[in-house]
Amino acid sequence: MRFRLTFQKTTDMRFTGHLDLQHTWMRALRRAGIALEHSQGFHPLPKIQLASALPLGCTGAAEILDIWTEKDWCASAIDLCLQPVLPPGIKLVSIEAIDLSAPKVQVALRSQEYLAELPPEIHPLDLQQQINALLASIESEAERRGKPINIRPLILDLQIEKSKPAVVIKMHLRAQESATGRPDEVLSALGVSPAACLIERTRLIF
Amino acid sequence: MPTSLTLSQKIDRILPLVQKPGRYTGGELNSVVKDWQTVRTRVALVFPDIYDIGLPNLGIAILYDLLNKQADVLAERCYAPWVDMEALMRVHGIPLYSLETRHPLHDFDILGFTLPYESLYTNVLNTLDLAGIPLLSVERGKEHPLVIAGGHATYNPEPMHAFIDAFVIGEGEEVIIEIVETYQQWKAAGGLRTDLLALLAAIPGVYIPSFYSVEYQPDGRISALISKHPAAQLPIHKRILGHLPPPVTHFIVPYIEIVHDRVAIEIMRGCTRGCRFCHAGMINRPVRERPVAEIIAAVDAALLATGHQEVALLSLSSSDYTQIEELVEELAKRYATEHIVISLPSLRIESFSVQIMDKLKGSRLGGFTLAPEAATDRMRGIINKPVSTQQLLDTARAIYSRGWTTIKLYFMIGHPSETLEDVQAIIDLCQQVYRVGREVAGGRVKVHAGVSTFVPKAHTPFQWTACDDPDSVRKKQDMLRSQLRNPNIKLSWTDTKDTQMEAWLSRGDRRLSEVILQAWRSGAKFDAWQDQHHHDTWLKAFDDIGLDPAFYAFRVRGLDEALPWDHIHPGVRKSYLLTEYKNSLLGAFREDCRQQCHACGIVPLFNDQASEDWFCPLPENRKVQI
Repeated sequence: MRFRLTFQKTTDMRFTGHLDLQHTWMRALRRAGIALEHSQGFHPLPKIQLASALPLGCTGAAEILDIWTEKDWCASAIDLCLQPVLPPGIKLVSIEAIDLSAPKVQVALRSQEYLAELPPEIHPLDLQQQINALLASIESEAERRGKPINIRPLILDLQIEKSKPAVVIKMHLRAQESATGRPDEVLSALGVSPAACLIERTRLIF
Repeated sequence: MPTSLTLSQKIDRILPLVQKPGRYTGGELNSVVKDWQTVRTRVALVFPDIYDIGLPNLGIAILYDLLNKQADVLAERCYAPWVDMEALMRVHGIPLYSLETRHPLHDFDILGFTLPYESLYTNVLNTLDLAGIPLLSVERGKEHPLVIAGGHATYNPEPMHAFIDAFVIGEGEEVIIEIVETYQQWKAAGGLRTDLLALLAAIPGVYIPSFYSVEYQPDGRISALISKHPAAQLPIHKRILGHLPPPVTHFIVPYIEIVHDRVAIEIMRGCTRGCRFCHAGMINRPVRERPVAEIIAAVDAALLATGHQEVALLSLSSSDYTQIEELVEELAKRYATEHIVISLPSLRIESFSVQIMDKLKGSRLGGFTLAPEAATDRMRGIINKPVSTQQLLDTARAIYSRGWTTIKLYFMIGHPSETLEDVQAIIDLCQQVYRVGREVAGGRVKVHAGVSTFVPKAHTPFQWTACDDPDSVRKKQDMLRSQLRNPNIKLSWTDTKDTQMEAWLSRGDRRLSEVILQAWRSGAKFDAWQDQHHHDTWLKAFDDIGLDPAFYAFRVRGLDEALPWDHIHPGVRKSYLLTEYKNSLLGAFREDCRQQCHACGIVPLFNDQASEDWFCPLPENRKVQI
């Protein structure tokens, strides 16, 4: 059976990369006694799929994991077994059974939404100007893996969240194969040091 | 960075800028966070290399578990930051901190370093420096933590004597609690730091180097070690456990990939083989086994607590575990279908080992490792490792015919009186093993020959011998490289520069503290990392201090010479080591001591602790006395 787990990746785990997060999940599922289907071949691996990789240092409020169980389970039994054995950095939000033939999460994903809490030294008015300028431009160059990249087409929208006490910026970024926006690159383009911000991915949009 | 930030906020700001920040966050599953205000004593356990290497260390895991089980004690962990993190910490004035609660190390009562090998020494200095703690023991006052160290390398504590307040010689499980209790009594009484050291000196197995002085002859050899304090024991006997307690099961599960992501269960401590080069084999006596039921229960509990997929059963010689078949059958029965990989190191070279491994091989088949060490009967007699070439080839045949495609063979070059014929025999043996594999399993077979260089160690029968000359070692390595050119035979070897550093430090005396300090000041650190070459820095440090590295590495010691570690008693007598040294010169084999006791001295020394899990038969001539 195939299940879709929605979970939070909290501050304890914000420096755990994509591959290590997969291993963390495999261990948690083994602790819970939930046997997974394995791939065939010389080096069988348990069948699990995470949606788009979360940049290192970010937390996630609604991350998605698909798992394929060896036996039939009901979602509430999985929840019951998993909750007590989750590591400090993961909070399980919901579990639902999904169709075995549903498209892969990585393929179905269209865009994603991030919130970044900025350090107190940033003024909202200055930031708004930076945002306006960036959104008005047609090109904004950043460097990714040593190569120049135009990040402007990857930005769908940028807004300052008015309701929050701290200065928080909401970023709606494209997330398609070979066209994925990164929050750190956007913040740098706005003149903000990403290392000084708390960044959270709040939504994966399909 | 704004100065008003707390230490934890400052750390959070630099973490996104370093490689693998998960090394520095803590918060892992099964880590223990206790309240600082409600405990009496706070201990930081430090592994002076990076998290990835340090986390799997079983010594730290055992002490962490034990100390945190004490109601009035907390133990937290600290590892050496990698160079990128260190640079940022220094720029932003961030002191070295513990992972559990991010307290600076200087806020702890006790810092316990584990020193399994010598190449960590400069990192100890770097760690203290990053923690803002004076490097030299004499410069520390009441306001500084007590700095203690233990582990295999500290059986010769002398090179590090200036930096460590108290060494623990031997097994730490009981003595660590005694040290903490003594510390608590001292703190309650409010004495001076020297009072604390005097109290600690009375604990068996604790060595306070500042309570002794060493005098030298004009030629540099030691003339005497003198005890300067009434509490200073001579000799300092190592500590052992008469009976092994149940193993640790609540291993900390890292958030990032580390060198060994696995459960490690020690099935047996000590070894009865008596290989003359082997430090671990001499210092870890007597042999004590854990019962099968206890091991199985621990594996179950540890898998449940961690979710790991791999279990390593640790011992110095797994084949010698008396109930190995029962153990393996039970493990295979329980885990065969669960995608769990069980590894069993240090198997003897015999077909029985293949049968054992065959039961454990599940869905994955790694390489099969054997350690013949030498390839000629002459050399096998010198090192006391009696494995015939035929026995090795038969075992290799059995391994390849049961589906393994890779055999790893461990050899050592540079043994005393080694000739080029002995090295040629290693080449021939690798090729023979490969040919056997081709016959049995065809073109896909591989041989991996790991050829390390022998370094004589303190408290072994070879403690008097010289290290092989680097030119001679390089010649032997060239010979191996030029003749093992088959793409299916992979060869690895040790850089002679690394070997030399290990040689200086492992049999060094007190004067090496100055060399270590000088080398660290000139930039040496992470000496265990081959990409961080500091060989010239070390040579210059020797030169600056006025010592000759050859004196430590390439000199044959006189049999009557006072050795720098003579005051440390590892349980085996020096006279036994000497007998074994003489046997090696004759090339004479000595039986496994499960067959016959060779009176190494361990039984009489620890008679009061002997239990039925020991595997020491009594010497023939003493049986009547019981």
